[in-house]
Amino acid sequence: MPQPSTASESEAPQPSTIEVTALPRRALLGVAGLVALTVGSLGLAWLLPDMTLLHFLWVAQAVPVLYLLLAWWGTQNPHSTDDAS
Amino acid sequence: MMRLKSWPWRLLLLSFAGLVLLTLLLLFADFVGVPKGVVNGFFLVVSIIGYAVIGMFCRTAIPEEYFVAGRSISAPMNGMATAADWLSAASFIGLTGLLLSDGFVGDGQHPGGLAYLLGWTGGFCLLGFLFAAKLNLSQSITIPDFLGRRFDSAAVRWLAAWGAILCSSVYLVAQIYGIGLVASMLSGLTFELGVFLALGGVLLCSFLGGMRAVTWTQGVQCVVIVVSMVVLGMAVSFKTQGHPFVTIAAAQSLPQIQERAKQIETDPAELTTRDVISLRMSNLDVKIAEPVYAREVERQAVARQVARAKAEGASLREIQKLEANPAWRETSVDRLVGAWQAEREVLAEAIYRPVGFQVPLLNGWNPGWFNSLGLVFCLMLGTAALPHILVRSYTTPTPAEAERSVVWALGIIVVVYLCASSLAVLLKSFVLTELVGSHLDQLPDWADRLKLRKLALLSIQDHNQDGIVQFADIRLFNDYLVLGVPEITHISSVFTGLLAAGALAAALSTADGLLLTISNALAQDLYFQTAEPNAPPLRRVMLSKILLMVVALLAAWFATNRPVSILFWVTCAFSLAASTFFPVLLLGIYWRGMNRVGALLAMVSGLVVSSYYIAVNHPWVQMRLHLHASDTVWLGLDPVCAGVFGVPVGLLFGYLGSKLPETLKN
Repeated sequence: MPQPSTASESEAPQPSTIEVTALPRRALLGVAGLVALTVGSLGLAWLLPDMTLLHFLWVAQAVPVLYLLLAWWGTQNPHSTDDAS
Repeated sequence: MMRLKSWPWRLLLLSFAGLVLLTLLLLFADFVGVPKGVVNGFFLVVSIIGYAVIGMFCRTAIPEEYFVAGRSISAPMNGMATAADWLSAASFIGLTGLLLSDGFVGDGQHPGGLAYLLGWTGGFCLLGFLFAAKLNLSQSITIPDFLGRRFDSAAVRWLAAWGAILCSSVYLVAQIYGIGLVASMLSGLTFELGVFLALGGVLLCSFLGGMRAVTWTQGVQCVVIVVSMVVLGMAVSFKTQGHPFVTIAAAQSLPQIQERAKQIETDPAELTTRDVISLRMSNLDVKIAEPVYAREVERQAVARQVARAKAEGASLREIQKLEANPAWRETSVDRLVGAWQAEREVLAEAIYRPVGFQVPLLNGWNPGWFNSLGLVFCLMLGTAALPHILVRSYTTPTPAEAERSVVWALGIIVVVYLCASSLAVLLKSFVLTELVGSHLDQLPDWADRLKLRKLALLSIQDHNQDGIVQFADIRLFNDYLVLGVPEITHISSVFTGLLAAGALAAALSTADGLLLTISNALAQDLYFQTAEPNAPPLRRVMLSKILLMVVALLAAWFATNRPVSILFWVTCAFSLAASTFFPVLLLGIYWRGMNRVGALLAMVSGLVVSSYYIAVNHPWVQMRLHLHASDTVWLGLDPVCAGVFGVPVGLLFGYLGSKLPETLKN
């Protein structure tokens, strides 16, 4: 378990770095993918309103998993932001 | 490589093993006949004591530990804490009921459950892509602090602090309300006592150890949330289809549900019930249009009925039932109209919601589609802009860890939501096959229990007076229906306690995060920024703790006034957060031309537009100002979609404000 700590053990917060940069290409592609996946999936559900099984299996079950894969892909940046820190 | 320090994982494994052991013990207790109240109460007490003990062990007075957990939390652990922070009472308890009641694609007017599911998960992609790493890199301690530094402006920080307080407060009251519901259900205490009992657990955690304690508590709460939902899903799946794979069980049940729904939709008794309800709604419309006259007519009618009942020696209960008519009871015309409007809403819901998972013959584009897209937009951007979620990006050591923690959080949330949506399907099959068509005096045992419990999860009104339950006669209380799953599906009552422990963990963890966000904004960004900029660190921590307690008590007081709908207020908080913070964060991080004037205008305009839209469409405001929904609704969008207007306006004003000539700015 973590131990209780007191004020004498630490100093004030670290100095900040606030960089303004252009939107990275991977982030841009990720957002575009997110929009396409969301609108495409909801559109499919609306175009086929009677296909309840499709709504359940694709939109309610598969799409959240695809979001997860998309978010994971977003972190696979070859130029890690670790370097910047 | 992800850092896996040994003791946090020992703590999580210990909590997992403890939960499994506790469940097995209580299953045994249930088997040998220990009363359900004792079993459920045990879950409540053990949960709260466990969280409080972690809070006490993690107590700290170091500012960086108190505000950002020492910036030393690994990605998996931070992801677990973020997931617990995120999985609120509304999304954990409410999503299953929402999908069950509103269906997948909505009723053609309002968004269905899929919009919530996609919005709540997709927002984490935005958070990971756009903000997590950048916020971590800034080494700030709050979102207003980040914005204040980015624009080198105390005014921006001050305004952002008020924005964070507003969004988080709306969300917090709904969470404390959820805590009160679950705690009172488990313990048998009154709602108000339940609120204050659970609040003690929240305070012991966040008050003593700030973000450090909240992080470790949320890690354990995440284990409880995931285990309770997954185990429940597996148990219901096993009960219905004979195997533990809940998604497959739901897919197997869907064809039968659709067939049964078609039978119900064409059943003459169901159609008669809907006609009766439509007639009742028309009568209410007439009354609402002429409330004073309608009240007098109805009062005279009630007076005659009461006199006749007394003359015939009717029981006191029957007389009280007659006198419960709002026209008899309410002295204020405004309150009477409010009661009629509320009744009309319930009736409208009864006939417009889908029997299966979609309304029949719902082809082409209609307001429901726009509302669904609008809601997904607000929930995604709101998720990426909620201050209490954003602040978790500060607690990891590196930006890459912050990004990875978002993926961990999303993974955990997806597991819970996959189970919740599958449970909705399985529950629907019980409602359609066991409840619809049963005689009123021979209801399934679970229906009787859900109706009669202190926190009713179900009500039935026989509109066509045929003594048989039609689908339109049933009202399910979506916000907390999932708490009745063990009774509906006939699995051990221990699962009620386990599920409620999960719901309590969800509400407590979110409340913890929100309380910290509000108290830190008050202390760090408002008080110390303006009144005591050179205050010593210990003083900052102490004031934050005191404010945290004050905010918690205030929120509990608001919650005891019982806000109408948890889901409504939570969804509004997303729209407010999206409108206030998304434009300023996006432009501030990725556009060099954004300056403090643009930042101020972006936040003010977004917040004003979305707050106005939510307020002007609230029934209470409409009644007070004699407004009509058709005059105040824009593009047919529900008030919860206010962010659809607030975000573009915020982006536009942020751009225009930054482009203003220097002379005009000065």
